[in-house]
Amino acid sequence: MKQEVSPQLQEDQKGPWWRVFLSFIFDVRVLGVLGQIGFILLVIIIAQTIGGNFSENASRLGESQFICRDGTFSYRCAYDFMDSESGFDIAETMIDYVNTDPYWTAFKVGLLNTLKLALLGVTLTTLIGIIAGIARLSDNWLVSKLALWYVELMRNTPLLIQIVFIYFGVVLALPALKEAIQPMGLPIFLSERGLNLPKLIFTSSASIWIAFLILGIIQFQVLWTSLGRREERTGQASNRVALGIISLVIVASIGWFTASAVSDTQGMLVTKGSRILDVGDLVKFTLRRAKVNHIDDIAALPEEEISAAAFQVCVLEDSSSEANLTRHLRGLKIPYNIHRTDRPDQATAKFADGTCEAFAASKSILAAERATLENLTGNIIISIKESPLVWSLPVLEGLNMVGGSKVRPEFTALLMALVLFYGGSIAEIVRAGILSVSKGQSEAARALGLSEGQRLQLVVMPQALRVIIPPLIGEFLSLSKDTSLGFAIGFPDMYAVSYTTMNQSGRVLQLFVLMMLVYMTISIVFSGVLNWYNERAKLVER
Amino acid sequence: MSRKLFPFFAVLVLLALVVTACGGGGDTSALQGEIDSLQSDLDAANAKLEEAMAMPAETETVEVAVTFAGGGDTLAKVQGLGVLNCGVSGGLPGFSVPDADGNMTGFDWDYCRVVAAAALGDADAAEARPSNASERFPILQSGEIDVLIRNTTWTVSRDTSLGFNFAPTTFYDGQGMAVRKDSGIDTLEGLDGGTVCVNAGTTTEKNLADVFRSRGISYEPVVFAETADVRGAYDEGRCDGWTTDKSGLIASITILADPTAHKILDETMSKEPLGPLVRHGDDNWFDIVKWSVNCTILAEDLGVTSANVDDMLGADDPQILNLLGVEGDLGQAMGLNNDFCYQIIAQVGNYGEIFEANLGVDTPFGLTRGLNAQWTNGGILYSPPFR
Amino acid sequence: MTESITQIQEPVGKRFNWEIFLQDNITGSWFQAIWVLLLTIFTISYAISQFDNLPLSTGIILGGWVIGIFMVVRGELSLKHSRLSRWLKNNLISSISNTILTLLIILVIAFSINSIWQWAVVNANFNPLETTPEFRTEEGATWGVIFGARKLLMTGLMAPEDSWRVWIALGFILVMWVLTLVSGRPKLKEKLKALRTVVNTVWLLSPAILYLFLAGAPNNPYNIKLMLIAEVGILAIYLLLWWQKVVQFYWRSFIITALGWPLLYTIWSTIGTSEFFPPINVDTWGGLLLTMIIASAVIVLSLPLGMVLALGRRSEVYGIPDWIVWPVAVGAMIWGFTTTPVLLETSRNLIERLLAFWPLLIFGVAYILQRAFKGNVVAGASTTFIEFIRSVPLITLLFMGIVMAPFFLAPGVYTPKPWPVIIGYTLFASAYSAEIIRGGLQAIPHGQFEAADSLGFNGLQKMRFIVLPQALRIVIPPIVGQFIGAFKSSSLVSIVGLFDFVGISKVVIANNEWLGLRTELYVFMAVVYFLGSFLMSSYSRRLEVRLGLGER
Repeated sequence: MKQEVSPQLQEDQKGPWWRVFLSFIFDVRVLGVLGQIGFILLVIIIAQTIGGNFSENASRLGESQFICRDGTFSYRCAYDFMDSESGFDIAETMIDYVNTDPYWTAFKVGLLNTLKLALLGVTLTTLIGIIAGIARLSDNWLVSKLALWYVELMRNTPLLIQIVFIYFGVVLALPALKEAIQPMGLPIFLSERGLNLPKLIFTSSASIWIAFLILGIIQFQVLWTSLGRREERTGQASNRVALGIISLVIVASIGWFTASAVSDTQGMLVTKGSRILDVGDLVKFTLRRAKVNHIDDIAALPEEEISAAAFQVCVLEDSSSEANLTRHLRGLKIPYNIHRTDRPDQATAKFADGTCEAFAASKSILAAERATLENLTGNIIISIKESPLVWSLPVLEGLNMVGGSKVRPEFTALLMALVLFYGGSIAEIVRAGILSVSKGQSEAARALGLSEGQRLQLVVMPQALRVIIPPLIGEFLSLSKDTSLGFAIGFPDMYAVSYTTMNQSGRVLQLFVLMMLVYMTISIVFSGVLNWYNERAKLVER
Repeated sequence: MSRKLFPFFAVLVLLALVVTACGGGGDTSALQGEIDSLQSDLDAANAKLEEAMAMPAETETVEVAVTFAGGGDTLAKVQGLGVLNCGVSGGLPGFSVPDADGNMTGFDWDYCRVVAAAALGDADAAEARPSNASERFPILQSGEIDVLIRNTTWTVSRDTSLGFNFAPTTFYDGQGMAVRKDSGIDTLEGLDGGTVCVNAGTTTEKNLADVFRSRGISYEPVVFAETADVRGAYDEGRCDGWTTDKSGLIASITILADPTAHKILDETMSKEPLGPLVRHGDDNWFDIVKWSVNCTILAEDLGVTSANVDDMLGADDPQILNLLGVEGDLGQAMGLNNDFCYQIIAQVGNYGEIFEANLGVDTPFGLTRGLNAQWTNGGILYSPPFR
Repeated sequence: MTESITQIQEPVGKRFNWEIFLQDNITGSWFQAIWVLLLTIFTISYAISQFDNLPLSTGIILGGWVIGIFMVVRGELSLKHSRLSRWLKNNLISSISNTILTLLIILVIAFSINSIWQWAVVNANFNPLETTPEFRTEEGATWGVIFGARKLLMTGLMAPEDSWRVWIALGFILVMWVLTLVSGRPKLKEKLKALRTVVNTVWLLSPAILYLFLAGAPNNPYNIKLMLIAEVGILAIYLLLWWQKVVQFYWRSFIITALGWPLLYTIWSTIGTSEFFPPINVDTWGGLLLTMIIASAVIVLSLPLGMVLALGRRSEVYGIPDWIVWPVAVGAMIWGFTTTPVLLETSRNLIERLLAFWPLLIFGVAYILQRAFKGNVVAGASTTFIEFIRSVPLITLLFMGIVMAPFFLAPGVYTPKPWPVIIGYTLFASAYSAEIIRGGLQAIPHGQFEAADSLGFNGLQKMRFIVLPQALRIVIPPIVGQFIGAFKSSSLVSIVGLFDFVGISKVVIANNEWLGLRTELYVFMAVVYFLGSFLMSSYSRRLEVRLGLGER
């Protein structure tokens, strides 16, 4: 790059040498460059001082922070400790994790929790924010004032106080597990231990059903396009929505029944002497044991007799057989008692010594296990029908709910607090965005006869979005970073897991660097994606 | 003067100042440094002289050139500052918690005062540095505090890879589990499928995971960073069980909403020997802390209390005379006054007094001595001899 | 309700069209019909249940609602609205769904206010001595904890004998505030010019004065070296500003600048050695005092730092030219590559093999510097710093400050906890302030810059006289919002172990008398924070009006 010589310098070059030199030195550009070089040198010196202090302090610790596996000291071994066993449990994991897994796995668990919370929080808070923002502009004075107070309350109290308050004051104030709230008698339990919901499980016959589903969707698509073309050609409405849905439902139902009828993978191992040849025989079995005539009379018996008459069955942990079998048993109103084991041989042992009267699992496992029993012919495997999807219902067993899916109170409280807090800020942004759309647009929409809802949806919001999105990006990023406050109430996000790791392993600097890098990556990726969306939605300016 | 000449004048002035600051200042600071170190030596000597004057006439002080074993200078730093920086918890009732006026009280805090009485001759020269579980080790490693007395468990990894030395255990504890009486849980197996509240990043958390895993008990951990939150969550019923050191459980149950509704299971999940710790690299300071603790233990063994310590100065038993520094030069070998143990007992008390004052039967905690009794009384407190 | 556009002479009643009325309010769309139906069902059931609980107030509300409807309907039918009925019609009873919604909301608000009132006032216990569990009830608050723990809540763990410091500091601020108000009065402005100068100077020095009161002057010996170096710095800056013609040379101002620092330093040192304000352990700061100190320090420090960063990011200083950067970078890379073979040999896995080629990072840095920033180190460093700080959460910075600070300083140096926290937090806040100020700088039309250039202003002059005054006025609303955010987010320091206003509540709750009174404390804290933020935002609104923002 050629340095441009100013006219002033050219003139001065005619003068004595020292004048030329001085004017060169005192040129702002030269001074600037010298200053910047000096700045870089200063930064290097400071870094060296700090680095020197650090290594001196590190060496005073007996170089413990950077010890390699073979006992030598090297900065390269900084992250070797992450391969050792973590030794602590994490309550909420999206992947499989036990406390013998390395610290890396624990860190991944924390990271996934953070991402889950961030994504869910961002979605919900946008929803709340939009509702509150529109409410702020409502005709109804009360509604707009309420929204204003909500926004002001959220914006003027710290997030931490809100989180702790919602956790200790709201979520933990829910009733204990044994007195959980059950809305309308559904198998949904809300208590201070969390929200227990039923879960749908895919069984092994689900594959057949899914094949039918795919077929149905393809068929739906074909119908949709062909009817759509006919619509365009003839101009007549073709009810393709209704037709398409009906046909999809028909195909799916056919698939369901086929799958249930065809699949024969689930079974139950019973003794021949029990004379149970299929699930229906269990009714007679139980009636005989309980000494009643009708299955409904069992409920009237005292507790001990019910548990004495209960059907003892072994199942494997985390298998769909349990949900499948219990569905049948519930349908037949048969009381039962489940024994869960980790491995099939443990279940077989229990079956052999009589703790269980039956072992329900997939037929292949049962066949293998039956072969190990002494009395080969004395035990038979009966078939149990299964449907592609089975409900796993939460049931109170001992201290906790078993089955179904669970949402922990820490997650709920943190999510609620984040969503409400950022909802306030987003409400203001949405309001500003809506106000930025010129009034003429709304008036024109009304003149065209659009209803209020259509006006908002078709005219105002698309234009408002352009103004709303840039500040929204900032709020989303803040929310994803504020997930780290879950540490205060025991939510195992990345910060909390790193904190525990720091304490258990004694290494502080490495974890900080790692954590900061991950947060930076999340921020960069997130803002990159949102900025890309913003570019697409932006007004093209002249 | 002409405006044009001003810059040159200003630059000259600046250069002059710069030269003065860097050049002359440097020399001055080197000299100043020497003066400072001489001054601090003089002050230390003066302090010793004053202490010598204040001691009872029976002891004789001899100025002995002290060489510190193994390097390190914590004692010099402490005596130079005149203050002992002591890391404590600041939030554990009975061990270290501020009272309503903000003054620190507790068992661990009294041991801070013990070390201060030994090193500085004044138990009140100890300064508390409250810390949570995650910063307690870095502040000791960095030198921000001189000794950490924060109900910390003595483990091999802390002793070696974290770079610390553990003084004798002041409190033999074990990890226990608190449950509600009406839950009907009597053993750890009864918590199968339940939730357990625990502190983040502690050996407690690790022990809980290990013990429950080895016994095949499944549980859901609810983990908080602050003890107050753990306690609050357990009290609200969030967890079926709460685990920490048994002494901590006993202390904290007293401040739950209904202390009588809870019980501690008999089972002990792990050994938790709690005691003071110091950094690697300063053997002399380690000796000082070690023997300060031993002084309190041995004093109780020999029957020396804060009430009778002055009378004990004239006792016949040579063990007591050695202990209190009437005979022998035990203190000076560490750079302390020979009467350091006398100061400890007189200003703070022996082990039994410290225990009873903070955790004993007259306190809300009502702990029995148990393992923490003298070896002659069924416990395992056993001090090596002062000789 | 439909309203005709033209003037009608006949009363509306005759021309009332039920079909149109229903169309507008209920049957206009499926959504509207379902909404009205749901609202009606919900409101009726809620009103009935409330009637059981609080018959009197529910009756009054229902009565008022009915009266309101009557007023609006009468006004509509007779075309004569009173002011009240017009307001009701426009705001509350504009359509059927709105009417029902109004009733529902009023009932819900009444119920909530009633229960809060019951808990907070009617059943509450205000006696500070009756806070132990036997005096508490489920339905009432135990406000005694606030009175009883007031010392802990206000000053934390500060020793009681040091509380005179807080009183002096408060008194000082009060006096200064009164003087500022008095000397700012338009009528007295001329007469009290001298007073104003003194007041302004004292405000400039107030951080040092408050530090003196609250933390005490350290007992260090007079450090000539420090004084001379700082003096050199001050004079150099004055020289630079004079040379760039931003400051005019007057003997009086020069002497004040030159002698001000040595004088102040001498006074500081003298006070320090004289034991008038002995230093206290800053770690004992706590409660609301600590929150105010942290928030004020962060606000005061982050604004200038943010300005520097914003200006740095936008600076157009002549960057280091390629012919300097690339040779140095290539040289450094070559030197770095000499270590690569050794690293490759001893590498154990793929990542370490990749890391052996670390000199490529130097290439990357140089490339970014030259391409993105045209060699402008100032802009590059500012941008990198801002983006880095903005992408990490605040508590990681705070925690890192507290835990890592002892490692990065010389061994054995004792850092009281508040300082690393304040520094970390200031860096965080300054990055955000920098972005806000940059937005303000961008909002100034280019014409201003060009006009300044054409008038012969150089860079610094342009900033000082043209750009910054306009930019700072524009950014006041968001900056005050940032300050409010800093005040609120200071609560996060409780997570890293400082006993600020939020953190001290844990100590209070652990006390025997005040066990578990969490709700009362948190409500109190929320109220205090709310008041503080609300006051700040209303002051900023008044400031905007006074500065005429948005009017020009």
